[in-house]
Amino acid sequence: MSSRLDQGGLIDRQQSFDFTFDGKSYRGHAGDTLASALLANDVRLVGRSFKYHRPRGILSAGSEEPNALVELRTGARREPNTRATVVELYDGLEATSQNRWPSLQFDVSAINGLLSPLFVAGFYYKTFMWPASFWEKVYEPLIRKAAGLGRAALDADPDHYEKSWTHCDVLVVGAGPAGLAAALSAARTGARVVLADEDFRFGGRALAENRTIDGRPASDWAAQAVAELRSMPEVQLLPRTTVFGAYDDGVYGAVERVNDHLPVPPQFEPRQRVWRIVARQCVLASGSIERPLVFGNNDLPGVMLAGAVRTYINRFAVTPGRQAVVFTDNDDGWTTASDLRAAGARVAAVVDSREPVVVADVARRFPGVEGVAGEVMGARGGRKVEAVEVMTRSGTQRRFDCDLVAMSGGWSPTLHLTSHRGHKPRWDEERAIFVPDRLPPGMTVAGAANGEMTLGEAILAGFRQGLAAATACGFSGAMPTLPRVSEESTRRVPLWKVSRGLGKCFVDFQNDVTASDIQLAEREGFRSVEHAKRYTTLGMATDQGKTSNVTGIALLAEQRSTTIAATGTTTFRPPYTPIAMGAMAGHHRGMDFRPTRYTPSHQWGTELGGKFKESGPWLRAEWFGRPGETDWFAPTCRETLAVRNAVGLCDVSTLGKIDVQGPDALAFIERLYANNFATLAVGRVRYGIMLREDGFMFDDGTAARLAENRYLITTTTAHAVQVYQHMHLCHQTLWPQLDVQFTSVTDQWAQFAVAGPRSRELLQRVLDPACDISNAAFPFMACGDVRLRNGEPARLFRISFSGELAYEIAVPGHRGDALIRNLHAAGQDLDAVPYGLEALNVLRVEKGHVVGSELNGQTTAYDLGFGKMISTKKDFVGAVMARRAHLLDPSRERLVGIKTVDRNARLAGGMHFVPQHAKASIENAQGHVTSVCYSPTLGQWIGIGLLTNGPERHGETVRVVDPLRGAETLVEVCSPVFIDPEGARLRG
Amino acid sequence: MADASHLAYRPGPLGRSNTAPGLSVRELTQFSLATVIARKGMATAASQRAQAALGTPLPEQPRMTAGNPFAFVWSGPAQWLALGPALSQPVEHVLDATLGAHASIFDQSGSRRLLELHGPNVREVLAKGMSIDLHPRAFKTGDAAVTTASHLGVHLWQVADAPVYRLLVVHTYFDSLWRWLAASAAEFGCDVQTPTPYSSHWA
Repeated sequence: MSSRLDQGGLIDRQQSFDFTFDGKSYRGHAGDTLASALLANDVRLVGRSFKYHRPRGILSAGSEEPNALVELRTGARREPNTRATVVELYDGLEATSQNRWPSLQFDVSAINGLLSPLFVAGFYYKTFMWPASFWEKVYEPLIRKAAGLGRAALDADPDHYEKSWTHCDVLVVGAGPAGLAAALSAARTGARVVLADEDFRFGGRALAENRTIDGRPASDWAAQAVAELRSMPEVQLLPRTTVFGAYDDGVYGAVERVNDHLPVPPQFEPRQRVWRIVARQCVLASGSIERPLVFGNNDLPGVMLAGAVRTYINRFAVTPGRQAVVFTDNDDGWTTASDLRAAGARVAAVVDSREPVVVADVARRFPGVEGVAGEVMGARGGRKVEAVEVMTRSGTQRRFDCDLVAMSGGWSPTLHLTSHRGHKPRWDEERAIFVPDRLPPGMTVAGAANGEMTLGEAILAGFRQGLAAATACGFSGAMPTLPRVSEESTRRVPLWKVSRGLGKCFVDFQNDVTASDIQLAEREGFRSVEHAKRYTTLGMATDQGKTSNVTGIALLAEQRSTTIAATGTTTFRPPYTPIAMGAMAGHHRGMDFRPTRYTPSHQWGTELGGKFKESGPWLRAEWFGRPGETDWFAPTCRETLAVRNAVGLCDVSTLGKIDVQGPDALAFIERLYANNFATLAVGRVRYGIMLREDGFMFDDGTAARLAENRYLITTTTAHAVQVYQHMHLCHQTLWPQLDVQFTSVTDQWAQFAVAGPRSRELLQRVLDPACDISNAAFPFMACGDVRLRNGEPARLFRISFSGELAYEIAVPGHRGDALIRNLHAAGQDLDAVPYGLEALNVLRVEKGHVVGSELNGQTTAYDLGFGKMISTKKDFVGAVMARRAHLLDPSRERLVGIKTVDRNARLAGGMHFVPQHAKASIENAQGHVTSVCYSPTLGQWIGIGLLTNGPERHGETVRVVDPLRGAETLVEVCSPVFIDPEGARLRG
Repeated sequence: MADASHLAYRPGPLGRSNTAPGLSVRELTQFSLATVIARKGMATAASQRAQAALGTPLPEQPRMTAGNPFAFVWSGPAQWLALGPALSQPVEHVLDATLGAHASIFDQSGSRRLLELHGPNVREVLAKGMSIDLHPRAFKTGDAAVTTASHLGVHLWQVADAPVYRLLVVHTYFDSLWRWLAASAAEFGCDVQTPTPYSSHWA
């Protein structure tokens, strides 16, 4: 049996969609929501409540829905807690009820309802207190099992999401009568307008009410407005788009459900898109949300909001019941009775909580409807409502059989976005609503969101605010002619709770919070609205209390014997409705989570078996595996020995490179570096140390004097950006008088280390023979312009990180790939091999060179053995603070080398130094091992580390302990330079 | 996640192909590029010198001005990018000869990759990663911006009313930028054209 009407509504009866709910097949139409299609198929029981597992149906017809939450779709696309009231029906839709076991009809956990004394407000803090031994073993697993609603998909989301920006003069949020009017009056001035609405069809309540505008159905008026807007080139219409947040500087966040109304997004199309809308002005026309009334068992399926009943009748052509009782505290509720009758349903009674004289007056305007002055005490029924018990004003109890209760506690303005920037709304006692008070800059509010509840008021306000917003952006236009609409009345005398409720009287349906929970919280001292919210969890479910907050505040005020104005409201924060994490991430997930930076030799390295790892944003080769090499160890040793014995090639383009020019270039770098540069000649390179303001090590690198007033400085890969920022900060704020210009040229130069005893021989094969790089002409720490054999320009630096005879050669970035292939080919018979980060690390540990592990922000130049380099003759960043006495204390943890006493023992980074015969405890720790490697040159594990009084303890045996992995061994403290301490090789 | 193999720069159609492409993109190669930073207090003098020797003043606002052989793209206070065709001499030498007394010159010819974009959906594609307003009321031919695209620093300027944009990004991040651009353009369909040598004119 179907509740679908034969005619009317905004559904397409020609287009039928088959769908399933809990495995059972049903049929709906294009234009349906899942909720309207379920109602059309007489499905009333849709879910189970969170705490008590009570049967729940469909309360509303919008995004405020607290009850009808389903799992939508299956497999990787399964989405929990989807509100059936906003799910647009599509062919093949699959939905499942949640929070029930074994079935929706029979749910074992419904026993929680009988145990409800255990689950009162604050039950977490009461029920699970004693004994303490139960906390972790019993209570926590129990709570975790019960907590959460719905099941997230376990597989990766197969769909694509994206983000986009849009800009406009006027953003109109909500496309009901007020929003459409605002968009029209603004757009007609020529302003750029964005109109967004969460619904898939524009029109808001104009689609839901049986009203006329200028003598035609209200939905026709809306369609005509949309058609006009669509024809205007500067108007962007965003249906299915929820504006979820208002942020600084007129930026609004919105999520567009681009393809949620299809089973699978079309190829290349995103499923959802997050918009960041930059608006000079915003007209908030977000409408209002109807409040439920608080009476016994008001959560039974079949108890619905009166306005939602009208929506289902007028928009979706569904009668949600055959025999209805309307329960209202306002005039608006009565229109439901006439809409129900027009749709062929019986109205058993309209129960109005106001004075009998008012009720009689309203009843006269709705001929044929019986009005009862009184209150519904409670609904009766098992899995759906079957009757209501009514107490009349005159004191008689009456029972009305019904399968539908339409309740109306008046409408609350949807003003969330007005308070996202920290402004609180104001309580209007006369109309019993919160209204917007102070507004974010550039925002105005029109229509029901501003308390302008009638159709005529809303259209007028929309026209006015839309025009005003466009005018504020410098456009001008005329006020549109107001259409004719019939009179309506929204008089109300608020009824926050019936005087005598039979059964549980719910306020917050989704979190199962009852009126007595709120009263209990107040009695237990949680009197502040913020405390009461958290103690009872009122308004803390995924619906954020859209239907419950105001009533909850009113009940709290009543219990405190104070006013609602004095009680205040909790804070609204974005997002207005839940947003998928995928939408927030957009394109940037998986390998696109953040940008990847590729070195110039990446392709070449890949072809040679390079194994790459992330190094900041870069991908750098760790090693280059050959057939038969199964792990990192063999290639690392092979590559290290190749550099020591022949020649190796390594991409070092990742080092930061900053070109410094201008008459004051030297003065500038003298202030940046702690060591002396005044004596550096043109064509020479020097190692340099930068300190932070606090005197600790910041970064190290080299500076090459390319010309009289030109230096090329390099930074570590990790600190490239910070050093560049630091230089700009210093220049712009400390020494703006210096005539110096600098820019990053990191990408301009592809740079390769050519290291090893045969490196000169290799370079001579690729360089123009006219370039003399003999030891005499181009000694250690020389630099200069050179030419390749094909005439291309290059730069050569004779610097060494490996301790071998070594060079770094640089060419413009886009020539890097050609150069590395050229070098590799030219060095085939010299056993030239590529080497990666692992071998680079071994080579530098063997030489005691420091990197990020040692430049860890806690070490000074003195600690790392650079104390003598620090200039005492000049001022530089960090100079004063570096001279603090305790930073020069010999007992600081200072750099040493270590080698294992047992030549077969292994070392690990992070091991603690402990005196040989002392207990391995934190009190006895004397520093830690910063870098380790297996040295194929020495045939054992070695390392460098920071040890108390380190340089004074060479030759001493100490323990290194790794309590985390339960390892320890003895090491001999030594110089950190393990190989060629005289530096003969690199000068050769 | 969707198959990403369509996200590499390869001439031919990309993404939706049953409609006319919403975006056409072409890489421009073989250009000279330099950062030009005026010496302290010499921006005006440098601009006058550029006017006399290179046929264009240096823009004081975020604009691009076309001279010969270089176009100048504003890239900060008293700072520009000089962009022109590949030259027989190093760009630093050429610019030093004209502007060297008033500005420092930094060769960047090997540091960037340059894309030219146009098509009916070009603004929608760029809006998926760029926060600036490219509406013709806000951004016109000759306007330039130093901004970000998909979290990467870029230069963007408009060369024709169609509109046609040029987008400059460091070469080490090009692949990441391209993956975003390809993903963003896929729904409209994209015609990826064969790279061609740089020309100041939009062909």
